[in-house]
Parts: sequence; C-alpha cells; structure tokens
Amino acid sequence: MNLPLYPYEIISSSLNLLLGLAIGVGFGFVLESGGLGDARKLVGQFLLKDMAVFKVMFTAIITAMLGLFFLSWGGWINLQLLQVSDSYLAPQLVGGLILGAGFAIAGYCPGTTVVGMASGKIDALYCFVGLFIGSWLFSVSFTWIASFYRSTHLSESHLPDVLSIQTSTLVFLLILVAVAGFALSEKLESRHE
Amino acid sequence: MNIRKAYINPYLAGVLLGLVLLSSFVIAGRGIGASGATSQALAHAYESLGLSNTYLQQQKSDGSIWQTWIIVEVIGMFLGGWLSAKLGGRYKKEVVCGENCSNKQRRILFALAGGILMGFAARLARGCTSGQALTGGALLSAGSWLFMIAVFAGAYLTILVVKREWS
Amino acid sequence: MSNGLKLMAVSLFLLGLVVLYIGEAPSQGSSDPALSFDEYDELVSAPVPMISAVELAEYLMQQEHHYNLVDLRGMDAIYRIPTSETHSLGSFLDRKIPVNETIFLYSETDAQAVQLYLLLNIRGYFKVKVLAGGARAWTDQILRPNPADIEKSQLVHRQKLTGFFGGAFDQPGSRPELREIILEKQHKKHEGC
Repeated sequence: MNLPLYPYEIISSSLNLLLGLAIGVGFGFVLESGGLGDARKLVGQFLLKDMAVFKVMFTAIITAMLGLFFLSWGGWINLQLLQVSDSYLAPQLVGGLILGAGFAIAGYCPGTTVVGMASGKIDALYCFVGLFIGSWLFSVSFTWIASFYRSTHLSESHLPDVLSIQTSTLVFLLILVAVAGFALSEKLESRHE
Repeated sequence: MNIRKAYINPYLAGVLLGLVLLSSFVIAGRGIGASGATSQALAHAYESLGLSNTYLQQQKSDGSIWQTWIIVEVIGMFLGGWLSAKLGGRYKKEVVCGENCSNKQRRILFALAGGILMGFAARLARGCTSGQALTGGALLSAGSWLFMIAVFAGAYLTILVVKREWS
Repeated sequence: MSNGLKLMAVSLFLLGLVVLYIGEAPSQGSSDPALSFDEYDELVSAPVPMISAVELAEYLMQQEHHYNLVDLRGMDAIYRIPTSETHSLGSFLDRKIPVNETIFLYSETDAQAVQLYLLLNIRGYFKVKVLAGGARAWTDQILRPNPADIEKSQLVHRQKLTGFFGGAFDQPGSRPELREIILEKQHKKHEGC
C-alpha cells in the first residue's frame, strides 16, 4: 500500500480536491456534532466549566497520532511524504498566546468560526470577517515582522528527536498525559454540577 | 425539526475528528487546516486586482483559488457544519453570548475583535488550532505543541480579564 | 468516573503499552533493498525514462518548478548545467530526499546516470529521468549546436534556448565565449494551513 495517495500520484489533483471537500465536510460535521460550533460551550473550557474542547482536541490528536504510528509500523505509509510545517519557536509561542486571547474574546477559534457560521450564528460571522481583517493586517505589516516571523527556526522539529527519545516512548508518554488530562477534566466538570 | 438533539460525547467526537485528520494525512499527504483559507483568499484576490504584497505572493497557491486544497476543505467545513446543525435541529440565526445576553452589539464587537487577533496570530504562528495544534500535534512537531500550550495559556489568562462578558 | 470512561482510559493505556512494546518502527524500506531475479530482470529490460537536452532546457527555462538536477561527473568538470548539484552515486542516495521528487540525472554520457536511475528506482523513486546523451548532448544541442543539424522550423526556438543558456550557434571561424547566466529554481512549495 503506497500511502499517502496524492504525493504518490495515485490519485489526481482533481480527485484530491474532491476528497479534500469530503474531508472538510467530515471535519465540520464532527465539530458541530460535538457542540464546538457554539461559543458558550467553547468558552466553557476556559471557565473550567465544560472541558469539551480539551477532550475533543486531545482525543483527536491521540487518535491520529496512533493511526500514523501503526500505519508506519506496518510499512503502509511513507511518513517522509507528509507535509510538515517547520517549527519557529518564537512566532509560534507569541502567535499562540495572541490566538488564545482572541479565542477567549471571540468565543471561537478559526475552525469553529466556520462551523458557528454554518449553524447560523451571527457573532461567528463577524468573527470570520475579523479573521480576514487580521490576516490582511499581517500581510500589510509583513515587512516589519518578517525577521521575527523567520526567527528561532528549528532545523529539527520532530519532537522525539528534539527530546532525544524514541517516537514510541513519546507516544506512550502522551497517552499517559491524555489519560491524566481526561481524569482531571472529568473531576473539574463534576465539580461544576 | 425543532427538537434540539444533544451533542455527541466529546470523546467520541474526538475519535471521529482524529479519523478525519488521519484520512487527510493518508489521502492528501497533509493535515487539515482553517486559517490558511484567509491568506489564500486574500492572495488570490490581490492577484486578480493587480495588487502586490510580498507575504501574499509567497503564500499564494499555484493554480486557481478553486484548485487550492484548503479553500475547498473550508467550504466543506461550512457544508458539514450546516448539515450537522440542520440534522440536529440546532440551526438558528442568532447572536450567541453568555448567560446574560443583554448587549448584543457589544458581543458582536468582541467577536470581531477576537477574530482580528486570531487572524493575525494564525498567520504569525503559521496555522491555527486545526492546522498547528491538531495537525502538528499528531505529527509530533515541537513548535506545534508549544503553540498549543501557548493558546491555552493565552486563553486562560485572557478569560480572567473578560470573564464578565460571558456571565 | 463512569464505567465507559474507565474502560476508555484502560484501553488507551493498553494501546500505549503496545506502542511501547513495538518500539522503534522499522525504517522505511531497508538501506539495501534486494531484488528477486525476476524483479531485476524486469527492471533492466524496461526502458529507462529519458529526457532530451532540448526538453530539459525548456523545462529549466520556465523557472517554475522544483526539481533536483544531479551532475554525476567528477570534480574536474569545467561547465555544469545551472542549478545542478554535483554528487557521486553514494552521496546522492545518502541525501534520502522524498521519493516523489522530480530528479534529472546526467553524467558525461549516459552510463553513470543510468546506474543511479536503477538504484533510485529500486528505492521507490518514481519521477527520475536521465538526460539522453549526458553532458555531451547538452553541449552539442544547447550550448554550441550546429545550425545545420536543426530543422528550419525549429531554428528560432533553438536560438532562444541557446541564447538563454549563454551559448551560441556554432559558426565556422568564431569561438564565442560562454556567457554566465542566472537560473532560478523554485523551492518546494509548501501549501499553508
């Protein structure tokens, strides 16, 4: 089995786009079904009332991570052909903080904004417009931010290599963190009931 | 259909989301994303208007906007979200706010402001919670995990200030 | 915590143990992939994908693609095709670039390039082409072609190609210098998220 399909040119770029649409539909559908299209539920995470955001995100990461691990172990997927964004520590740290702030203020993150809009939420629509404005502001101020944007690049961004541990060890540790996180989440939520 | 169906279990949603993410890796050789659609849309718009911008030109995908994967994927997200809302009886044109929804205009202003912050931040961090946290997280990318921790930190710190907006 | 959640936590933990037991996944393909006699037979009797000097020149001139152009000649070659990287068979294989990248190989004649093509092919590289006639063909057809060998209808086009690469048509008596040119190669396009 030669995976991933598109980098191996097993599917055409048109089919890849069509499947991309399907993947998006799945993404949006699951998010809304889980209630992440509702700002109240999303913000509940930061009020420590409703831990759905953490549960959904972490479970998703663990699921996909395990999937990749086992597919790679079986020799079915060539991980080298997966598009990975390089790590730039400073911009990602600062960007993360600012995005978190925006998240708490707006009640949506970029992905859930789209889903919120799709369920008729007018505030999500305004947030979406804001995303474009923010993105545009970045583009026009790029000349001043460019050097910061390109700073602190890690030549090696694969976490196991950065920490000098095996991938399997890191996966195991993250599973432990996930289980602990879920237990804590359940406790925090029951405290609120 | 006016019956508001309950949301599915978050862990189940997480597993399903993880499978969607995995299928993206397996099919397209890349993870999912959301914020990138804004820069692609702007980049293609700039080009058709004959405007130039270093960042947008460098980011712009080859081919037309409809041949850009993330644009198509985000359109799909909208469709999927709509479908799920309709089927769940949760589609409603409204302004969502905290318990006390007295000042809708204030809420909209905050949504806009938050969006602007996120739009900027997502470009700086080269992604958002979908692209960096989920995708980069699953791929065990160091910067992505740092980003994810920073997002939670930034949100928890900010909520201390804006708590009242949501109560 | 409900029973369902406890079950989930336990299953996740057990999966983690499985991952730990598996340990390091076997590396993508072995470093010395061996072929069966039949596979080898099939490989050497199949035609080697070639690209003519003219086709390569047209491709490079577009300056719109990302590719790897590999020069397999020794250290003493005077002229190298712009944007090429000089390698030995071993050093290029060691680079371990992704198997879906476009690769053009050339040596003085075809011999070394075809060898590397075979080695790359059995390692899963599927977008490799050999410059037909090697560096000599490049000199004869692009840098200093004999106009008598060119079809009348192609003269203008070939003149453009030759001029672009800093060469000139071979004229009796004159020996014009080779101009240095600047050729751009695209970086691997990374679609954002």
